[in-house]
Amino acid sequence: MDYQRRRAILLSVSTIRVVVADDHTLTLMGVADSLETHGVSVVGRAHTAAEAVSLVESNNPDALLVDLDFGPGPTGLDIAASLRKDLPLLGIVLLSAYGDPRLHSGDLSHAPMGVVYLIKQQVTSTRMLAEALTTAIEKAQGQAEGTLPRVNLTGGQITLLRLIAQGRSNNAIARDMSITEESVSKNINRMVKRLGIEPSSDTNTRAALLQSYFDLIGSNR
Amino acid sequence: MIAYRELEGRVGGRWGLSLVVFLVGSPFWILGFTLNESASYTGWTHAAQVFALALVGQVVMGGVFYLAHLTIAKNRHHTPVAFWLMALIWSSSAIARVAFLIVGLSVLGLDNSISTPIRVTTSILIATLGFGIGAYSFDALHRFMTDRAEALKDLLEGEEEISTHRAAVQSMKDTLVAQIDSELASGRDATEQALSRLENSLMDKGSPQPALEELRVLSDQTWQRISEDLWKSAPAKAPRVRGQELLGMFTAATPFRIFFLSLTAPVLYLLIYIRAYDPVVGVTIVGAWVVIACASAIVTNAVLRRAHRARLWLFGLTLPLFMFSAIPLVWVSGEWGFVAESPIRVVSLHAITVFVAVMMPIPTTIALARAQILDNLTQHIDATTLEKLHVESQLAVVSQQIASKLHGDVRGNFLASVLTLQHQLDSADTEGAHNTIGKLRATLAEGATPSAVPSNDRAELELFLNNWAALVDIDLEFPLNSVPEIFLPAFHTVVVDGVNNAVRHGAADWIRVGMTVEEDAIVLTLRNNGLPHQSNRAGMGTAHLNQLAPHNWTRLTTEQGTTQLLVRLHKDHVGTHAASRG
Repeated sequence: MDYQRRRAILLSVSTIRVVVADDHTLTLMGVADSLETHGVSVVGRAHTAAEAVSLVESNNPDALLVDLDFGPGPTGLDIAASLRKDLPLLGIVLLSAYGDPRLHSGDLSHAPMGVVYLIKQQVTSTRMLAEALTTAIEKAQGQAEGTLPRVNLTGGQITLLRLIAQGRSNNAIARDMSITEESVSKNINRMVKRLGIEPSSDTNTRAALLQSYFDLIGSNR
Repeated sequence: MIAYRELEGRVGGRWGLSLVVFLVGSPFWILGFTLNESASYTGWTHAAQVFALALVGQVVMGGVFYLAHLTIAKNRHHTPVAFWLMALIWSSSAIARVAFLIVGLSVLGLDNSISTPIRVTTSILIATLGFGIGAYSFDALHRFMTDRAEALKDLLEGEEEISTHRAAVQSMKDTLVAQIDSELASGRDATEQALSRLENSLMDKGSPQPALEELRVLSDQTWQRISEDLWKSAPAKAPRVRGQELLGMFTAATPFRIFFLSLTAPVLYLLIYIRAYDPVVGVTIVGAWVVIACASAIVTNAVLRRAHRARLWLFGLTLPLFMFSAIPLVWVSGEWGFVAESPIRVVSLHAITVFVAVMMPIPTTIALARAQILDNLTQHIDATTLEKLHVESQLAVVSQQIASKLHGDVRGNFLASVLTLQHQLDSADTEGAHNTIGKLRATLAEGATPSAVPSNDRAELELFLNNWAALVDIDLEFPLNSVPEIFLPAFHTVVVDGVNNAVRHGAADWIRVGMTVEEDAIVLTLRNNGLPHQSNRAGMGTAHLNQLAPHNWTRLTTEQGTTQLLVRLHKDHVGTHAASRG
């Protein structure tokens, strides 16, 4: 990014009004406080989906910075989709540890218009957050497509990986997905190849898949 | 039959010049030379000199291997070396060894009674056959170990339903969570003390940096250590192959193979009998031995196949009989007037050669009997081992899930706050720092431990519905506590799938959930104004319905344009359901 654009963003963030939503108090506090120290005006801090919607409707901010995972119920993407219907110009930034939102829930495969997705592990400074907010506002104003990151797995494989991470056996997975156990085994083998896991006598394939899953959802080892 | 290309790939690949194969074969080369030289029988000093020569000769042979490994066979892991080239390398190593041994015998002034052509021919024959079969065998063993790990995985999954395993897993989970709770509690106490020191230094107008540094290290290290310990303690490797397990499978699958015993005949003749007897007598003795050995092998294999429990013992008893079968032959031939030159040498070399011939096909037998691997595993791995593996496998999932939670929910959050605190101290915002410390104390007091993860279906469902109510109009037409306990997990799954589908795929903005309780069932009704064609899609939603209410659910569009899902959950189908939520 050239100097002029960076300067323009840093100048423009001082006028941005934003609502930050995260169900974890400390993350919410850390993100909101650090944005404020960079001159962004945080007009609302939401712990739940309901609070996020309410604060956006009452404060009319320029942007919403929302976590993907809010526990049981709607995700950040659901909140974004719901708000987007009435607020086409609202900049929306999704902040998540998941390298692909389908890893959280299989049917989270579409991004509402203009949504910017940030992976937590890749955010190294508050300035990146501020820049993402500016980009999200620009994209909303330009009616640009929203984009979501994708790992090199099909929807079915993502579901399979999630079920394996839940500790389900092949038999239970076959029942859940309405396929045969043989298909589960074949799909696991294909997934193992796609994830670059080398099968060997020293490797427990299931544990290796599990480790890949936790890597993909942003849990360091 | 194995195709030529595949055979070439196995023999000329990773194991063709393997140090392991070389080292396994070395004692036989060294002992073979020592026992075969007539000089060894002319005094202990000469025997020691022959042995030393054999040792160095083996190093020379290894040198040729190493040279080939560095040059023409450098890339054999990726591109296997052609069979003829491998044979050339093995033969060259044998010739180099023979050349060294002949020179060595001459320099030491030891008796060299074997002609050079015989030495060279025998060495080339043994090197090509021995290393070829050795490489193939180790490749087969490697493949077996991979198959075995897969077979174990399948076995574990098949055993999941056994209740004792579930109890063991639950017990291990409880222990694990209690251990983490305890570790977190001690971590919290230390952090609490660090916060007090930080607060004191703020009040005393002293430098807060040391206390802050301590806090940062504590907050990071405590949780990082616990979660990393969990990752490390989660078993990720298949158990090692035990010798008894291999031997058990080998003895069950024709251990005395006629092909290998017949193959021994020319080696026995060239190596031993041509030197100990007149050539014609030597051929006769070896011929007689092959016939007797093959007939005995057929009988012994048949007996071993039927002797289940005593198989290993029987094998242990019959193997020495095969190895020392030269004793009666030497005795009988002596009785008939054909006395062997150095009978001890004949018997000992014969024993070594037969032992190698019997043991050589162990991995090959396993490779040829792949279909039997699973059956044999179930026989040779006892229930206790299986249960232990199952528990470890389950524990891997649990501990890694908890480790993930520690990283995501606790460590990351706390660290973010400590960084905020640092920023406030840097900008001399003492009041803000006091507030942040207060918030940190409150969070510590809440104790976000893994055991606090919601596990109650009713509470979780209530939270789920309340959260969705912020975005869509959800009406539960009955109190949640009126759902009978036995139906709760299934009810949870159907409602979660139904609401997610209606909103995410049908774009519904209102949902009504109704329920009728029957004697052995409940009937659930989910109505919404979402798009019907979207909500009818196949996927996890319908899979759960088919599993929980087989042939007992319908989805239709009413005259008013609303979508209605009707599900009858019977207690026979929901009793053991454990919901998989996402």
